[in-house]
Amino acid sequence: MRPRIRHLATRFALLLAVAAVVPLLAYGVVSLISLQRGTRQSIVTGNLNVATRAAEEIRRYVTSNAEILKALSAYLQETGLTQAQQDRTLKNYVLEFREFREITLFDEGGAKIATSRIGEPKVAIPKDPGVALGGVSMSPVRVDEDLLPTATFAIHLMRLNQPAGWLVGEFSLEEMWRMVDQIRIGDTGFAMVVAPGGELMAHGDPDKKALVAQSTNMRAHPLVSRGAAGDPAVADATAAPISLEYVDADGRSNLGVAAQIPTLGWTVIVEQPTAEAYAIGAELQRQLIVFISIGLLAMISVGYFFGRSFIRPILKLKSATQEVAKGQLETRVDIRTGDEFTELGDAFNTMANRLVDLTENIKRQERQAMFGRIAAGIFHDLNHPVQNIGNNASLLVRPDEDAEAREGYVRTIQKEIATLKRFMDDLRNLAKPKPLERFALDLNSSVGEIVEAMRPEGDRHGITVEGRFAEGPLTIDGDRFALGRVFRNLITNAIQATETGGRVTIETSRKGDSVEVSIADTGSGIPPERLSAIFDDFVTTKRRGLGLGLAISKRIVEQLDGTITVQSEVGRGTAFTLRFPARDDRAVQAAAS
Amino acid sequence: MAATSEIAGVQQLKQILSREGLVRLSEDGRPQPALAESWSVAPNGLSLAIRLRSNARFHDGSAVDAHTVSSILRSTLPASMGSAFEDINGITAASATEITISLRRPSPLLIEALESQIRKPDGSATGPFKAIAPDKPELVANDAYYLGRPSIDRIVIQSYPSIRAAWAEMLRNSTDMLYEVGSDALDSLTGATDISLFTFVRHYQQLLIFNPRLPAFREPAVRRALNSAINRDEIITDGLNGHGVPSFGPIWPEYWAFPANHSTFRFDPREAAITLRPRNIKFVCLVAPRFERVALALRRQLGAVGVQMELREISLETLDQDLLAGNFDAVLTEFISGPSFFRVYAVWHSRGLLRGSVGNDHVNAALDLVRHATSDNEYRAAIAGFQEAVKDDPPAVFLAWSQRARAVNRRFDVVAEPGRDILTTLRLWRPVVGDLTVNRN
Repeated sequence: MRPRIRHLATRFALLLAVAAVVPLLAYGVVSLISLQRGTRQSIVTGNLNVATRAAEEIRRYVTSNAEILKALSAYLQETGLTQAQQDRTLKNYVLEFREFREITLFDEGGAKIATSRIGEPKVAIPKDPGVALGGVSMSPVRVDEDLLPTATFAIHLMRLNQPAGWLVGEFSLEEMWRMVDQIRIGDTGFAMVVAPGGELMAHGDPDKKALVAQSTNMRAHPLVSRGAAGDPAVADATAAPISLEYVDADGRSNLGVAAQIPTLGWTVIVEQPTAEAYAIGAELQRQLIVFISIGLLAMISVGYFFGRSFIRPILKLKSATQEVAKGQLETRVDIRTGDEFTELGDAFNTMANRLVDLTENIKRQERQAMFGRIAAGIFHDLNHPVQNIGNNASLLVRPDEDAEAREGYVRTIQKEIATLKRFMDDLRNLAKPKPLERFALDLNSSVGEIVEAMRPEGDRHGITVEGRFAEGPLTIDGDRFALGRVFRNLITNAIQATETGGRVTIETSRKGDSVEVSIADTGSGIPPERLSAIFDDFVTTKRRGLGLGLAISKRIVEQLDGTITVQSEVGRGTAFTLRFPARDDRAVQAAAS
Repeated sequence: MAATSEIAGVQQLKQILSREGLVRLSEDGRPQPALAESWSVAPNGLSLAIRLRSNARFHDGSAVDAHTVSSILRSTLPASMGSAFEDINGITAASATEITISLRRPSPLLIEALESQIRKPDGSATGPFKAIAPDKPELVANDAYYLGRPSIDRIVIQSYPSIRAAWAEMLRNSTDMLYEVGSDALDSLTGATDISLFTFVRHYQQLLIFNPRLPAFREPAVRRALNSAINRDEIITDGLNGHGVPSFGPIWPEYWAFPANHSTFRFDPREAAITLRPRNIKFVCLVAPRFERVALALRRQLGAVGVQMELREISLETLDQDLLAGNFDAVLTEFISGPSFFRVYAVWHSRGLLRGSVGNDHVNAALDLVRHATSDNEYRAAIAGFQEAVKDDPPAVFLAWSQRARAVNRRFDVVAEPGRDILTTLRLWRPVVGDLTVNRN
């Protein structure tokens, strides 16, 4: 019952917790999913914005410098400067616009007219037109000796629609590196710029700049291979930025976004490890899970303690009921919850009070019934011998009776007095058991004497009383007279319970360290419902007697450290088995000597 | 180890690693014990007693004894000290480990001059590393080095045509150190986690030297005005990519005797133009390619005050020859000028290393006052006087102390002193614990 109540408490707590937390869990799951999607979308959008802005900045940076060169070419063509003035102009220009490391003016044949260099120019008229930026052709980017990305800008000068030379500038994209270096997404997210052919032109990760120096081709990069980097000639000016998750060569999962610079054909890639990109989302997710878990635990705890509190009156009632069941009828409950449990407690107490009253009544009735039964038994047992003694005493005093008759009366009187005496002994033993005197005795001998003494009684009722004795002495520590009374009582009961022609068998045996005596009859047997009470006081199946015989016999056997058991089957007979601890024969002999 | 310039690199690097003098100079120019364990100057300043380290050995295994070192000093000091050697009366070995230098006049510059490399006629030196052959760019640890054997067994110096090539090799782990990273490349290397960058201000300064014999530069007022016309910060920004320290004279800024409140040139182009524009000064300036951008910036600033400077590109080797021959109007170059004052003296005295190609009487007199100062206070006053003389009669337009960096693979635990060249502690470098697989080639 106890586990069931506990289970009830647990279930009650769980019920409360689930009722409170399921909505929270549902909300949490929905929130987690939304958070994951929202975070990813937010990160991707943010990184795409960064890449797009960087792409626009780089485009503006490159095109504005191309415009600067165009402005210079216009200035040189329109102002009619001397060669020395042109030379000085170019020299000042490279100081003014640091991105140009050199600017040289060539004639149509490729001869130097003026240059910003002190010595001979390093740049030359480009053979490949490269990328066209509004009249300025731009060569592919290369990394120069100082590790700086460099491109050559060239403007084909025209005068009166006739070719009039070239203005060529070596353009350092150092500022582009700075832009890319400044793009830092979190701690480990960087940007890179890839040329149309996949050549890496800039990398924001200081440790990856080596890839630029080594002229690494990035075609294998997932974003590049997906077509993020393309030929500017065919590049779609409206090409949308793309995002992708992929594992890089180091085995690291990355979130990458790419934005094109359509006019240049370059691609700006912003790459960030997913572990870092989604770190905030993961942290929020973790916090949400922790919050929900704590909420769940809190609700379970609250539910559990609340449930315990709720069922505490029930536990009290359970405990009180168990006490009452044990006979503690004075047990009461004190429940002051002010609700139905208080009423239930009051009802329990009322019931207990009533139960006490009823029990007292039953006991009173039982006492009265027993007293009546005892009184009837005493009357019955005493009435016959007393009446017999009275009759024979009357006959004894009649003068006409002869001596032989008188002697018969006297014997009758003496026999009835002996009967009364035994009756009185039983009563006395019941009230104050006689202490036993334990001596070593041979049970075969003791039982044999009783069997012999009882056999005439059996004969008188047409019942065979048979003794079967184990070989050798069966020595126990016992009281010969008390045991004689036990055996006599049991054999008498057996004879009385057995119909004429039946048999009463007394058998002794040794069972290990014990000695057994069984008294079995072929009588009517004892109904099972009465069998368990036959050793109780004042229980008898006979019309005569107080029902003390078996109770006294059991008490004697147990006083001698023995046991007495009964097996009975209605219609087939009853067998009593007495078992006593065997005594060491050598000790008996020593005691005898 | 990678050097990106054959000229400036391999030989210089070999010398730094394999040779040393009696003293080495700290960053404030004070001499520190090297082969000389200690020294003392006689109270009258006319004698310098030097005690050599008893456990020092030449690379050929012979002891660094007083007799040998005296002989080396007698043969090398006249050239390295120039006119200052006139103060020396004699160099003798007082015992196996003691050298006495007797002087005609007290000469506080002598002890600084003793940083001069001690090297036997056969080339055997005493440094922590020794060259395996004069013509091979390879050095090995000097097992008998008196301060303990270096942790690095072997150093191979490899030349590369460009910083890019050298850097690429370094990033491929084929090279452990990049000897010199220029100002243009410095920013792109900063931040790499597997490479340590050590920047330092070189003891070299960039300057525009005037030919004292050219009439246009005879007037001190003209040279002062030229100095005032220059915005040195702008020169550093435009010409050195921001990596440099303005220079207002030849003395190393951290020199111990250099007064903190020394006089400098004030940038005042308007005042300079008042002096210079009427004179319509035109001159040709020889420029090595590496100084092109500085030259352009300088040219523009001088042009702004009416001075026409024509630039002519010239190789460093040719430039040196023209400089010594006095065959120039002006030269844009760089001179070593620190951390000791003796180096200043050796360059700027008319009877110094450049044999009258630079300098003037005013500066010479100030230098001689320093050379013969008899006490610290007198010495400090003479140094301040020299700076004043330079300001009054400048022999050049002093532009900037250039900044450089050395890149070292982080697999090395580099012992670095703030602001100082890490090469001076190379013998103490160790492979990082747990990663002993550094390049050993």
